[in-house]
Amino acid sequence: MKLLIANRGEIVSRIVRSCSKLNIIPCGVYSEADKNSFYVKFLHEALNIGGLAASDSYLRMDKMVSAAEQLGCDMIHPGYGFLAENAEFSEVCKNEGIIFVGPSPQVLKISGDKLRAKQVVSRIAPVLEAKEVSTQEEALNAAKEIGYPVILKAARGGGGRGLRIASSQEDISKVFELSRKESMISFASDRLFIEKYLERPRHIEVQILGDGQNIINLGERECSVQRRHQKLIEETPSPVLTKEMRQRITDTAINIMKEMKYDNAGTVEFLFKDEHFYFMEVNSRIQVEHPITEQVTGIDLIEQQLNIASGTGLTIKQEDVKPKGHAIECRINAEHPFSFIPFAGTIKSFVPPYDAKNVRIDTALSRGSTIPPFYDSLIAKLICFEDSRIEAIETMKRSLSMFRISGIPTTIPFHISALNDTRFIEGMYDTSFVDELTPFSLKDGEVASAILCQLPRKVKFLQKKGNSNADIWTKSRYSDPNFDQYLSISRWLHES
Amino acid sequence: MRVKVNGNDYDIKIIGQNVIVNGKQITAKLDEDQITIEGKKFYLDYAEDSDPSLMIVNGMAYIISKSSDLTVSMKELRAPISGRIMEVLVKAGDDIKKGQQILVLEAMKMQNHIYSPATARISELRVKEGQTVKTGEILATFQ
Repeated sequence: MKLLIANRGEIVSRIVRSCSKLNIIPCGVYSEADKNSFYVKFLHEALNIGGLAASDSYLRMDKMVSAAEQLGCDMIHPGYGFLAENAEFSEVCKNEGIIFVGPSPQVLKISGDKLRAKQVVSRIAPVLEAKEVSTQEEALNAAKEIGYPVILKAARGGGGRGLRIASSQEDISKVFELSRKESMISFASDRLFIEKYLERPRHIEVQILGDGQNIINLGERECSVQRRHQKLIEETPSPVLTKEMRQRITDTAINIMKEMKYDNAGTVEFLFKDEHFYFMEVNSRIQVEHPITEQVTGIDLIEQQLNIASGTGLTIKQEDVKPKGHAIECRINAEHPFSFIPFAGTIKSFVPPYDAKNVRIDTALSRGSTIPPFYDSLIAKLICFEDSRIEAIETMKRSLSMFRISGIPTTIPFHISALNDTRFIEGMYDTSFVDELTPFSLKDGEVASAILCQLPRKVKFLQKKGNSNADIWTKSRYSDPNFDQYLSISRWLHES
Repeated sequence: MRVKVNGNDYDIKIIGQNVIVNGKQITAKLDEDQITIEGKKFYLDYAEDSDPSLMIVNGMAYIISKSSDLTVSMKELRAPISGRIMEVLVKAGDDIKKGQQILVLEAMKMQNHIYSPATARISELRVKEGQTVKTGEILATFQ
């Protein structure tokens, strides 16, 4: 069998690992921006599909199908993001006689439409009240009926984009047209709905595997540490669920997926507050945070995806799922650690933590890798697992401070701050966690000051050699006329 | 020299290889991206050239300001990264406060809220919703 991986970055390396277990030949594609990317080296064969922006490369169904045909691939794995939950792509693959590693088009048509999914699920599980709205007037009426605060969502939305909270009529008037425009630009659909906004909930999801006949659950993941509705830290098991609540949430997830006749790996997402949970959406793909479930269950989720898609079916039963210990994942992004503004640039050094025991790193980076500005900012996933939660936190803290990535700022300082926060340590956190976080490093200002003193000397040294970057130290970031140089600021630290 | 690190004041003097921070002598030597302070090794992961600037040492972040207060006069706002303007929340002539949200810039699959670096009046807004911008492009100018 030959598989085309229609994605980029770390998930490609991850899928390649499972392919080698099953004797599947992994092939792939790369855009013009990714032609020197490290992940391409893992592939048996790879095609340049051109383009820079995702819409000209990884989102192009025609390019993916023709790449699969050119390379003689029997299957396409879409990874996450890009075409992963696209019902049309799943259908195109089917028509071309290519196996799509993911759910059937019928399932994707329901799960890809948040409103429709809610309607289907509302018969069997608690959901937050929602109403489709097409005019501002309808939105105002719906909000009045549901009661403020409400949240305005794009029916076709995802990835935390296109969400707006409204606490009053004025808010609705302010954001309605913007939301519609934005939904059109981002998701090519202007369908919106209004939902009751739950303040400070926890976000808990259940991992499901199904082959159309059998549906099993692999436990939950707690994903409440988020910024702008995008996850940053995930852990399993959730520190808040009792045995009885876990049974309730996993049973509900199984019932939902049975109703959808779900086939492949998927996740049922819930909001959880005051011991009540509400169905939010089904993510019909492998998720970024799947490794923590793999570490506690010992089950290779991508191997199961490939088994299900190729017709072998699920090779495990519910009884085989016996989660052990605790796992945490920190998503390391190329972002400013406080503002979370993404950075594109070149990695000057990349040294993962050398203590490999109970540490897993999913990445496709190495020294000299560049992070293109066209795709998302995730550069590595650091996963730690131990017998107990407290040990897993300690291993994670140690690994984070030993992880050397330079050349670009990363979210590592954010993770160190989060893991030292009492709320995280006690497991008492919700989706507002990041907003109320204080940076952890206040005590070591002496070290930073001492380093600062050493930096200008370096600059002076470079000035003698006529390096034009040298004098930008003293200029403000925003008033620097050579702003592009800003992105490669630390270059001179490595050049001398 | 006085600097502010994460909001706390530090008084720094440099005498030869030695640095005196708040009266305490520290022996520090920077070699490539490693610095040895009092025999303990620290790694400089990242350092900005701005003021205030971000420095990452051993995975921990420091915001350092060399000016006595954190207000730096800003004449313009530039795009921190290439992307698409999703929303503009102010208009020319508006009086804005430091830290007030000015626009939303979508880049790398994220909606980045761009805040004002200064308290000022907007003299010109150079971007519209839906427009794409390049890193460093001027988005707005201040009076």
